Amino acid sequence: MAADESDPRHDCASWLLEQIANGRFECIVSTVTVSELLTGAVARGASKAIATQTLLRQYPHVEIAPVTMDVAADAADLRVATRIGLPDALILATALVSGAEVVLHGDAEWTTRVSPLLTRPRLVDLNAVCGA
Amino acid sequence: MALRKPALAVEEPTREVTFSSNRQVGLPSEFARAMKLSPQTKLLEVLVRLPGVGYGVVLMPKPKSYSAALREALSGIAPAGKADQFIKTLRDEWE
Repeated sequence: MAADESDPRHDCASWLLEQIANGRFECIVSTVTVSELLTGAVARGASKAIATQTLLRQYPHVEIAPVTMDVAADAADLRVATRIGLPDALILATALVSGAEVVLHGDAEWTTRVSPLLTRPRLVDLNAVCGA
Repeated sequence: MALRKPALAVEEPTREVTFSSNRQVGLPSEFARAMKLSPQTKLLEVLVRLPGVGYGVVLMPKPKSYSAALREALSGIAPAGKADQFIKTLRDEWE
């Protein structure tokens, strides 16, 4: 959304990226999300794929978090408890295991199905806070 | 009007270099000129995974703005206004 100027969340997401780069927030990104971004980048050609991978690997204050056994276990628990999709569960479980305070997302289903069950991390729907 | 890609600043963007016994490789002068490097310029070396090859190293100037560089890299990976649909399609493949 930060890369698409037609996206109503563009300004908000761009601001967040800037704040992360400046060290105001520490950010954790699941390898599931990384593989989604790289899928789009690879489909657009080698130079975009390398540029995306290069920047994700060195982006300041961003940790790329792998799917570990702990993440898998928490994801299974979330999947059964909330009926959200498995990739969504893996991403949320990554936040749980990493001790994240806030999860930024753009999926209304997470708000309705997951928020009532979690006290931490707090789920923040960018569609709601960014005026989309 | 059709847009043309800007020509590369070097004629041969791929060169074979030799890794020395003290772990050094030479940067061709044309590459250094294309990258506008001067002595003492700080560069970032980033190890990246190149499927089918193994690992490679990207040598690049430190971006002035990481957020602008990442936004540029990610631009166009999903059709305009369809970022959510792009992600949903990928995630639905798991079901």
